[in-house]
Amino acid sequence: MTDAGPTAGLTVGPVTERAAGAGSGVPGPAPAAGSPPPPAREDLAGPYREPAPDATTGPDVGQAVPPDPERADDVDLPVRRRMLDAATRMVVEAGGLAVVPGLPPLDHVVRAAGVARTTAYRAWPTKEAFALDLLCELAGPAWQGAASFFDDVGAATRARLASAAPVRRDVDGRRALLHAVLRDATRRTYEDLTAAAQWDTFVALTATGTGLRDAAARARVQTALEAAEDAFIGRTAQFYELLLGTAGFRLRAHVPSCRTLATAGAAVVEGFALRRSVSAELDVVTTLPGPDGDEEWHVVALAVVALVERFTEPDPDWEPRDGA
Amino acid sequence: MPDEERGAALRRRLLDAALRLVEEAGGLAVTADTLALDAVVREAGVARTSVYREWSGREAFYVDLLRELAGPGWQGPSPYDEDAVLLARRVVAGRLRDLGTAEGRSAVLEELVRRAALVDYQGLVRSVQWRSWVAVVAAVQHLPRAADRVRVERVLRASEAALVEHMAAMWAGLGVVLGRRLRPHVRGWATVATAAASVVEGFGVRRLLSPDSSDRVVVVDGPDGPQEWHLVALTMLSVVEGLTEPVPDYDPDVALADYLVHLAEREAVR
Repeated sequence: MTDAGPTAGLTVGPVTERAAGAGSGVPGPAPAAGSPPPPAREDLAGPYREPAPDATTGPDVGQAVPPDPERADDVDLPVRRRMLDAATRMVVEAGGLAVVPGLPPLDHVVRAAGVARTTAYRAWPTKEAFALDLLCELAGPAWQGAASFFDDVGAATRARLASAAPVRRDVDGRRALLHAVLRDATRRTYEDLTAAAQWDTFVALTATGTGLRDAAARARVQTALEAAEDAFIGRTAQFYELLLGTAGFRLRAHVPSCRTLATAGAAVVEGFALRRSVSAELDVVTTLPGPDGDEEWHVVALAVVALVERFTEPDPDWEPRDGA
Repeated sequence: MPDEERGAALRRRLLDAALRLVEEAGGLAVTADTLALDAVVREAGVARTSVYREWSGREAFYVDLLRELAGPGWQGPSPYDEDAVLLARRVVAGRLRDLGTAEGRSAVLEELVRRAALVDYQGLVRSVQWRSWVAVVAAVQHLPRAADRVRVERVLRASEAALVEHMAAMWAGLGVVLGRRLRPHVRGWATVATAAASVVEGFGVRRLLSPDSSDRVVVVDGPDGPQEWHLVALTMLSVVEGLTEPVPDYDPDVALADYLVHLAEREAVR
């Protein structure tokens, strides 16, 4: 198995010039011929873009599309082919495509924070040091807290469980409650995860590494990413514990802990979230008969219910708790 | 306030301001603009001037590179999927006698998923193409020009559709031979294929993140004693069983004949 760590990511062009003159089309200074691939870029404060209308809310699919971009590919263009083949080869040799996080430049931040420039430079000796701290903030669990969707899902779940009390004691009633909560909470988590501003960044950094040359810096970002993932699984495990306890289900013998179930559940939700933007099959909602009439089911929720069904079973010793 | 505290407060204030900026920008921009164009020009052995006749600038070149990385390796089956497909067929071939009973068919499905999911997953995490694909998926939303986003997304969608079509055919064929059909609310085998692929890729992303903790094995008691399952395989089995159900009137001879016809038709399509 190959090392999938951040070191595998190649990098990295003179991206900084884009900040100064984006789209100028001027390649950076050429390294000596025959030199090894250029070293990883340390300056992270590169291609941050202002929130331009076109970049975030601008023309969407169907607008501003070139007449027929596909046609150009059919024409035999040796230079084109050779360039793309060479670039692809380089990416593969480097162990994957590196993406560079575009962080807001320190000057920009200083203005937004309303502090003196000199003060800011006392806090961080270099703008690279600032960029690294910021990257760790963004990669770490904090963004999930900022999105607070776990809190929302948790609160909604508790409210749902409270309103279901007294829970029907028979297994069918308990199963219906389990399904109802999973249906809502899974879909909500999936929607909120894909809507979270940092989700793409998290995925990109995970898949490609950070392009950081400094091993200590890389390790810090990696630690932050792992902490974010750990927090995601930890909260998912808490959710399952609450749910199983209230609905009178327990883990089957082969499932060591709620964390195992949570690891699988989180992978399912993240796997669906990953391909959401490219798949024609996701976001298919089907209608199923439920205890209170027809219910809408998202396929991600169906998948998670199937998972929970196979990992848990009704707890024969379960007694409803008063006021639970 | 002591200097140290003041320093910490200042850092917090600046980091918060930066986070606000990122939030306002709709997330952190990620760009694939990481290959020095000059290095590519040298690697390709073409004249620099000719490159500028093809692309208006480096931005345009990078968009085409993203399309490249989003596409060819993914249009049609990638080698590791093919390994899983072949393994699945071999498992069926090796257990034809078990097809006679419902328990036997369940056991074949279990063995098939237990082994093929792992092969699929291991191939995935080794694949540079897959990691690049993930990076492109994540980066595409952040391309500044809508037209570029559309162009890259078109390739991503086409390659996804090709992959899903291929895997859906595999699941449909296994449904025929193992006597499983879609549950009434499941739209098609493409849904099963997409869900199964999502499971493998969800675990794949986790594996990239933390190689040590993600390879979990659980031991499940089976008819032939305890069996080791990788969590990815057990999750995939749950999802596939959850979306499908046994057919009521199963005849192994008919099923096998239908399966051979199904495979032959697939061959003809390709």
